[in-house]
Amino acid sequence: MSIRAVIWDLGGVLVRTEDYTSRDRLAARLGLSREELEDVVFSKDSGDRAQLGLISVEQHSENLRQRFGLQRSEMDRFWKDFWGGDRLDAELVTFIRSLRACYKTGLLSNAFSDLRHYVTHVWKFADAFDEMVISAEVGLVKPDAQIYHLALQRLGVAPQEAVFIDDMPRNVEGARAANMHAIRFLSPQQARSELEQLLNGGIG
Amino acid sequence: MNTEELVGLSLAEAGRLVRAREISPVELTQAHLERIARLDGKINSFITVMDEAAMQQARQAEAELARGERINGQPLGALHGLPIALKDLFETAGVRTTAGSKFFSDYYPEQDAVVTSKLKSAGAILVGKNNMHEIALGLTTVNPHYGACHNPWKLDRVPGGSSGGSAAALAARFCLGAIGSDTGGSIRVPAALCGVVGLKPTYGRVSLRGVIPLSWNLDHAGPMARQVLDVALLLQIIAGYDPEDPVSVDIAVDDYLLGIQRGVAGWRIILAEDDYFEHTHPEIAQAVRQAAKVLEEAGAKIETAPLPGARDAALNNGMIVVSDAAAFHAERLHDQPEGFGADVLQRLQIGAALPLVDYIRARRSQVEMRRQFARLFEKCDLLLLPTTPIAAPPISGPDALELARWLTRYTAPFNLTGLPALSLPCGFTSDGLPIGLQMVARPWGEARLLQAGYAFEQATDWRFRQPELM
Repeated sequence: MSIRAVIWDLGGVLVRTEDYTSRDRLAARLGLSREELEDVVFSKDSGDRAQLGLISVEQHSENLRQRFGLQRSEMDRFWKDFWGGDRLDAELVTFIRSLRACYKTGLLSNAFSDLRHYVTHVWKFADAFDEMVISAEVGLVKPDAQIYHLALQRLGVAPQEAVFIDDMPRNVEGARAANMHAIRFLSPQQARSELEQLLNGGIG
Repeated sequence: MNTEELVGLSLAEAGRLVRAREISPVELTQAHLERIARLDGKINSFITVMDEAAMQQARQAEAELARGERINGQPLGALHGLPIALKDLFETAGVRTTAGSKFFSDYYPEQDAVVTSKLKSAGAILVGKNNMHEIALGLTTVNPHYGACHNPWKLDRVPGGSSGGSAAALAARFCLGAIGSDTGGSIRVPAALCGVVGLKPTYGRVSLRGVIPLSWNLDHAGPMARQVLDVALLLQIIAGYDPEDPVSVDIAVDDYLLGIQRGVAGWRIILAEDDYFEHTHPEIAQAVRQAAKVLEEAGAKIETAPLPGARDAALNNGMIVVSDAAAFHAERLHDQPEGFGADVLQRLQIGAALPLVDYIRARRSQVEMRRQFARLFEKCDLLLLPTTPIAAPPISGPDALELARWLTRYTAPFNLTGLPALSLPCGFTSDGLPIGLQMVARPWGEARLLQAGYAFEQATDWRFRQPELM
């Protein structure tokens, strides 16, 4: 069965933390290691529930504020520092846009409730995708098989007709468990080359 | 899962199953509506059942779940597909909102109350509008216009009031959650009498815009459910600053689920005991002392202490309620007094005739009491007392009215002072009626209050008891 859809993860793939200076500085200020800070933001009950959409990103931010004993006025800075080293890979976005001529494209991200806003109004690349499936919106997170099926259903393709690209091994495994093709993202060059091989049916 | 199992779920568990796509909003809503149709004839907990609208909402919720987003592109909410009921004083656009009054029997609001719209945005399915004491001014929910509501534990007993329909509907498993209002005890008293959980939040925590008022100074909207976690989930949705509500306060909302399981080890808890509590039925006093022991075993330090000012606070609360109600209903009271039921008319007339000086003194005492009660929490984390001195009184009979008078004795002080207070089941009387334990915390301390409630609930098994309804 040939590939009809290409589905992308966002964090660590399309948007990558290229410069850890501000995040490290923030962690140090809070007396944590970078990994500990990331763990608190992305998981640890509040982060998990924010990604599941059980609480809004605003509530998650308030929980972090309370946890770290910060003022409400300090939270803008907190997030600026946390995300400060993140860069959108504009070239990769251009590549995804070019895929739309022949393939359906999708975004499948474990993220907070404000991601759609960022993709649409801040980074402005919502047009690169036929469908965006965001965990906080749909109440499911990768690697739950149901969220892959939801993305497939929205794109109108069978699992074997889709390829999924993610930097996290467990999400890649989740996609394979759902019978999709999957590529572990290590670098844009590597991912594009593996994808192109797959799309060309391994001929080239 | 069969119908019985579906209606027996907690709100939190049902929410998890819906989001995991293991049960559908349609089957869940249908199970509740069928149960209402089959059994509410005996309970009369609804003034309006929104069956068609609810089924339509449920079908839409199901389609949204399949697609993973709301029709208008909105994310699925935390209450997606879950059947919730509203006390009939929360305005619902296009759906009759009576406040239990004859005067509002034909009132179809154009807009939703803030609470209503927050529930809808969170994906809740509104199954109906609950019966209540007429205009919320009373504790029995023996409503002369829409019929008396019956306590599911014993049909000849009142469910309490004024949010009696809400508590009865929860106990009867007609909905998974409900929103009530509390001006002297109207969430906590029926919660106690029907064996469910009810929370009156801090004054200003939940918007009152679109809630038909009883007292502008003392009304509180709050969540009710069968378990503490469910009440926390509902509060999370309805809490928050509303710049258009003049008494709403701009204080950040806590995450009520984060840390709810942390327990009470090391807490200082005061069990209120003085002559004001002498009239508590011995079985209730015993159940509350036993509850204190449970918390002690969970690591809290329990002290007994008097609660000076409780009597005055309750009295002053009552004075302000009847006066404010008489002001809000002034024209109706003047033009058509016969449109009110006898008990409510009497209270409104007392309110209308109350000397101004008494009212002013009551308001002044409110300011003082707020300070005095808040100070109590400099020395302790939680206050413990019975929710009511008696269990559910009979609907009719020689003692009915006299007994109902006692019901707000322990709850009203916390309306006057605006402190957050929770009622949850802590036992049963020897004749099988539920007993409510009241927990009170410092202003804006809902998260801690729910944490204590959860600790107590998990250490006991009262939440698993339910009335037999045939």
